[in-house]
This record gives sequence, structure tokens and C-alpha cells, in this order.
Amino acid sequence: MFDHADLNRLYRYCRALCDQESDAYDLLQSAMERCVKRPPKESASQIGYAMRVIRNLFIDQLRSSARASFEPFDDGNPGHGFDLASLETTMLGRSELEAVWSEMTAIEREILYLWAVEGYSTDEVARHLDKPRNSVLSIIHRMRKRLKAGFGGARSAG
Amino acid sequence: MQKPIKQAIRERFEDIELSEAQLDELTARIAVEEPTAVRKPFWRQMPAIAAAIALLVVGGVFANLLYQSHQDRLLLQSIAEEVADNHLKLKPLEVQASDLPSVLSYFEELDFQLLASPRITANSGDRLLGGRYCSIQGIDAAQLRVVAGDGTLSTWYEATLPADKLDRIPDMDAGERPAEFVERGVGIRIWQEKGIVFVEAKAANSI
Repeated sequence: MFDHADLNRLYRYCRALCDQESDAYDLLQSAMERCVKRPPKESASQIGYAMRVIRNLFIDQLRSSARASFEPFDDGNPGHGFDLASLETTMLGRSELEAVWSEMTAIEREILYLWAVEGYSTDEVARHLDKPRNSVLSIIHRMRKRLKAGFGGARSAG
Repeated sequence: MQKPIKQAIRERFEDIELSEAQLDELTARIAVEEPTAVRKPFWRQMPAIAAAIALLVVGGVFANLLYQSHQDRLLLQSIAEEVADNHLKLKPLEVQASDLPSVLSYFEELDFQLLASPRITANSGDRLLGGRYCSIQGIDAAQLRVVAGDGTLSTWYEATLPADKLDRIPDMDAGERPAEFVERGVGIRIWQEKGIVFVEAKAANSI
């Protein structure tokens, strides 16, 4: 069903969601269990299906553990139309990225991962998250502001 | 050195990979969970043994033997159910190593001496993945994981039990055969050697 390359890809997604390596591995194991018991329809992408299973399990875990909100408060501000492409000019060093990463919420990490690693557009991210485009733009807007304000010194090239 | 954030994130995740042991474990786990053709399970062999025991039922002495056997069976069944659950859940390994002494040395908190039984990696192609703490009948135990050459994952358990319960576990040192069960598609074998309880679990169709 999934080869090693698929498993690594799905593990990286789990790592984008979870703070801890062990939590990410647990999440991946649970997702694999679910995927085998309820495989996707033949026409569906196995990876896409697995990513949705992972996301749903992650949200269920957060809810059941009553952890701090997975999502930042949506103030309804569509972010003046700035989508993920607007982040292209933001420059970061490795240590700055690690500092930034540790301060982000799970959904912010997830959005950046889907964009940077999986190559999703803003619309594709919104579809994957099952959120209105404006909600995603709002989150991106807040991320841009914090990056510019210096999450640790990250700055824009232009 | 500053880079575009997209490139920086991509490079950050490029370094993230599962270990070989984790990949083997997940692959084997998927293989365990996938529906397979059901072969003849262990319990179908049991009616013949049960009928033989029934023939011996004469008077109170034999009724007592039956009662003891039933109690033994309940205990073994309970252990089998517990182990099947552990086998199916496959929580993360706490120690990853391919040589048995290294894995066994991790279990410092157990109050018994683990045995390096040759049965654990008896088949050529078997590879030890590691181990983790677990419990059997409420007592701390060790779980080891082995993947066979064909990818089949098996879990092995070493535990101790109080003397009255240990007496109910088949003793291979005394020539007894392991007790065998199938629980939720998992084939379970239970026995004792040198006072240590051993349990082996793997997909029932691979036994």
C-alpha cells in the first residue's frame, strides 16, 4: 500500500503537525492502521487520503486532550489578499527558521509545510484544511506580520 | 546564510526521515493489518483435545481436574487477549537494536532476569528490531519485535507471574507444548522456560 518513500513523506507531514518526534510517529502508526482498515476508493490518491486521515486523527487527539486551540482565532480579516505567494520574498537563516518554527501553531506549521514541501497553492491548502480561502488568508496575514516583526529576526527581501 | 523561507522549510524537512527500524515496523504493521485469506486457526484443533478430557470426567476427583484446567485456560486466554492487544497496537519501540544482548540490557527495571532464548530469532532472515516495556497480567514485562525475511512481524514477550499462576503455564523444560490461541487474527503461543513466561505473537496466517 505505501512504500518507504510514501511513509517518509507522510512522516514529514506528521512532523509538521506534531511538536514531538514520538507523537509524530504515533500519529503515523495510527493513520496507517486506519488506512488499511478503511482503504481509499480505487480512484482516490492514497497519499492524499492518508494525509486527510492523519489530519483528522491529529485534530481528534487535540480535542480529546483538550490542548490549546489548534487554530488561531479567525478575526475574519482576509489579510488584504496576501496569499502564500506573498511569503516567497521572506528570507530566513536555518537558526531563524527553527526559532520561528517553534513559535508557530500547528495549523501555521501545516500551512507552511503544505506550501513549501508539498507544493500546494493557497486554494489547495484551503481545500485540504476544509476551510474558506479567507480563513487561510487570515492566518497567512498574521504569519507575515509576525515574520516581519521578527519572530527572531526574519526579514523580507523586498 | 539567509534563504527564501520556502527553500529553508523544504531543506528542513529533507533531513527528516524514519529510521530503518521504524520503516520495517510500519511496513510489517501494514502487512499484519491487511486482510488475508484465513487458514485453519488453532482453536479448530481444540475440540478433539476437549473431547478426550471429557472422557476422563468420573467422580469428584476428575471434576476438580476439570475445574483446574478451566482456570488454567482462563488465565492463558486472558494472557492471549492481552498480548494480541499489545501486538496490534505496536506502540513505539523504546530501544532499537539488532542484537539481543543490547536489547535485553535496556530492561533494567524488570525484577527478573531476561533470557536470551534462541527461539526469538530462530529462523534465518529473522531480524530483531528492538523492544519496549509493557505489562502482562498487571506485571511489568518486556516486548521484543522481530521481522522475518518475508516481512512478517512477530512480537515476543518475557514476563514473570506469581507461583500459583506460573504453575498454569505450559513448561517446555518439562516437555510440555506451548498453549496456542488465535485472538483477532493474531496467533499466540504461550509457554514457560526456566521460570520465565514467554509469549510469541504474529499474524495467524503466517503460523
